[in-house]
Amino acid sequence: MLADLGFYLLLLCFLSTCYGVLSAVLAAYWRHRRLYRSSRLALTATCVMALSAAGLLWYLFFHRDYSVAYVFKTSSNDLPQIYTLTAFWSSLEGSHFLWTLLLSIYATIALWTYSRDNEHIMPYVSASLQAVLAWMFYLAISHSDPFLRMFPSAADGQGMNTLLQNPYMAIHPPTLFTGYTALAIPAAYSVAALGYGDITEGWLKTTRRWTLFAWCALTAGIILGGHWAYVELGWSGYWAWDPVENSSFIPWIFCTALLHSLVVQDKLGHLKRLSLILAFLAFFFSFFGTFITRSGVISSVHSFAESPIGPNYLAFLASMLLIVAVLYGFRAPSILPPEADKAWGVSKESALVITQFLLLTLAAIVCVGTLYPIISEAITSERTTVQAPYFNAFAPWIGLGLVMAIALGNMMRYQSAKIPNGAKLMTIAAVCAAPIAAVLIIGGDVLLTKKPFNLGAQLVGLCLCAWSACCLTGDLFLRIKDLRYKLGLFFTRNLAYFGGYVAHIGLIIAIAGFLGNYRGMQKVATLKQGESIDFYGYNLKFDEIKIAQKDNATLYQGFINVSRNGLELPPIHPARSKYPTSSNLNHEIALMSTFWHDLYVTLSDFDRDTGKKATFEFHINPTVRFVWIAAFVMVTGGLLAISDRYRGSKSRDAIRATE
Amino acid sequence: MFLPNARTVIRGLLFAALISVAGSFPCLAGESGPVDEDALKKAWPSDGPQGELFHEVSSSLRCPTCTGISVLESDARFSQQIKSIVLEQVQAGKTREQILQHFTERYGPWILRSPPAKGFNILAWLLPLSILLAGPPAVWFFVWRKRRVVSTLGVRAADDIIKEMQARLEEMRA
Repeated sequence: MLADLGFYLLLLCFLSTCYGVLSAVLAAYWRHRRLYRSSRLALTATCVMALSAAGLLWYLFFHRDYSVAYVFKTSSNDLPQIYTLTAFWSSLEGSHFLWTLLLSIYATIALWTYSRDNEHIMPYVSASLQAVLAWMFYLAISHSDPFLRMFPSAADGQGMNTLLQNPYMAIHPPTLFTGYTALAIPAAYSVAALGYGDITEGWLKTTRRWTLFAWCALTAGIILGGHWAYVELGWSGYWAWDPVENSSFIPWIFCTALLHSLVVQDKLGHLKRLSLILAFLAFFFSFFGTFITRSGVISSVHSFAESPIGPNYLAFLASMLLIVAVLYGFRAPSILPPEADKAWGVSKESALVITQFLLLTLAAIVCVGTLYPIISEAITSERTTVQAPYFNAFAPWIGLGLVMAIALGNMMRYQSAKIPNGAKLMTIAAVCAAPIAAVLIIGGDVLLTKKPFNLGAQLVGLCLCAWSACCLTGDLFLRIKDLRYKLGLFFTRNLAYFGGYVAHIGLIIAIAGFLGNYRGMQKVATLKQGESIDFYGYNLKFDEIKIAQKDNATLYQGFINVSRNGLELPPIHPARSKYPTSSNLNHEIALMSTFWHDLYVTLSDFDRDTGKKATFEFHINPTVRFVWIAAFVMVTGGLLAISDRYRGSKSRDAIRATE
Repeated sequence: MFLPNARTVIRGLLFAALISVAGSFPCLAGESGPVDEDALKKAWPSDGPQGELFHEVSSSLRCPTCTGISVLESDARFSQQIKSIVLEQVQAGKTREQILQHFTERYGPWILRSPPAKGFNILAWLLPLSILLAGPPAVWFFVWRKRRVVSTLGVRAADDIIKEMQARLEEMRA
């Protein structure tokens, strides 16, 4: 009964967004203010109804109503209460609905918090957002209905995917989807600018905020996903370049590129059309990622047609692309920079263009690598695989370029070929970087790396990272010095710059952390009770396997006593867990983290009769913690930049026009 | 439309079945069943030239039942079997190329984690390289080098507009 109500709410949402699109388009065409307001009200109503439907779905989960197919499929009686709530987004229909729900929330916020400067393009914004929503709701009621009933109802559900019973999986999807859906707002403003035929005064301010918000959410979401993979999957890595990860990374790259083109647009009024394209593509690729992972096309071209979702997505993506391309073709020529005769030369804006190039190349490589198996299978009908080794052949070079570009680009100034105090700054940075690099190299035991290429890559990488961070800090110091150390003034006027500084430092820390992948160590050993092995200064002594119960899982825990250099450390318990609804044994890894490395232990196999013998995999993963710290630093940088109230609040175009 | 040959279809179905068994998530390592006493005894070598070769080879073969990871990182049953074959061949003194060849003959290039750079697959490697190499000249050509011409009247305009205006002027004179 309640489930039917949920379905009708979704149906109403669909109808209301259809009305919203129609009224917004007519409002834009007739320039009819009240019609636009009714379109906004339609969206608001949609948002409220979608929220109620979500509440209803949660209620059904909470009361374990197995007459609803989705609840039956993704939860069971033994599931802890907290995961009954996150089971909402643990499978296709629910995560599709979460996507739609978040989009309707952010779209509503975007329409109500508009800037007066943008008033005349709001109908276009409303139309674009609701067009996407209408299509999402159409899918929800036609092919991906979370409220689908089943008969007869069951006494117990099939259970949630056991790998998702992890706190990180509870927050990773909403965070990532927040990023995806927030990207819809810059895209909608781009379409609006194209529809209107010009960039309005308040465009930059609004777009910049939403892009930054999306960027923060995407950064946090991606790293949370990596953290989940690290602690849950038991293969001792956080990033496998698999299609699902890649399809979250590509929008992140476009979002980052967009932020950098918005900076140039803010300062000089140039790269407007690039911003429009990037804003659209960032959102397009977040959709595209959902399409390739959800349609089944990624596992094989031939599974594409099995689910009606795939062709539907494809049709929508194609029509979205077509509409925007046509709009762009007609309208973009009139969106011009303030002066046409700009000579770019060697300058900060040129450095930013090079950054764009590097970022977009990375996006292209990731995209080619992700899609290549599909393309190749379609053309040659031979299956191929593109995995980490392919991406790792290219990505480090782009990373190297980015670290250099961050250092040089930040020291440069707009419309000037000269770096103020350039030679001095770079020399001092090199001097300061030397001890930092030395600490990183010695502390991380980099010199233990055996392969010459890996060793070289780490040495060069760490030195460059340290130098780049020092250059950034030197430039920050120069800017504060230029303001005669008036920190108050600096932080009110330059908070966005400072946010950028923090975010860049975060990226450099992350890259230093990624370099740790070049010197991972591992050992596999089968130990009998009382036996011990020595591994990287650790002495690990196996005691026995014990059986324990944790929530709904039965754990087979291996007890290992750890000492390092003679010092007794708390014992660790790598385990396998067995959930009642699944026949699989999941990994419950044991992790002993220090600042410089993680000791990561998994239980591969054990003697199930006596529990006195087991095979373990021991890994040393250097500088993994750097990556988690980096995520925090980057998101902090992004939030600082959002809270800047000065940047972008006045369009410099407008100032120019009145001059 | 693309017509797959029968072998591809069968292999596709086989893997689809395997993947659906393993669950929809990457590297579903654990599979139930009785303990394989052999697997328990087996510890992969981690040191010495043999250990290095083993690592290198097994990290360039994909785990057939997972998405995204190598047989080295996976302890799915299929990967375990591949690893023991690799280990046997390493101990038999075969080279990296020979072992990879052995697996490519059996499973097709699909088993390699990155497509071999020959035949059609060379495209996968050339595409990114060409973007990387052609990009900077393109940026230079289209952005940096481009200068606008300033007409004699002091009106700043692009070449083609000036040409068009001159053509119109000629027309009016004629």
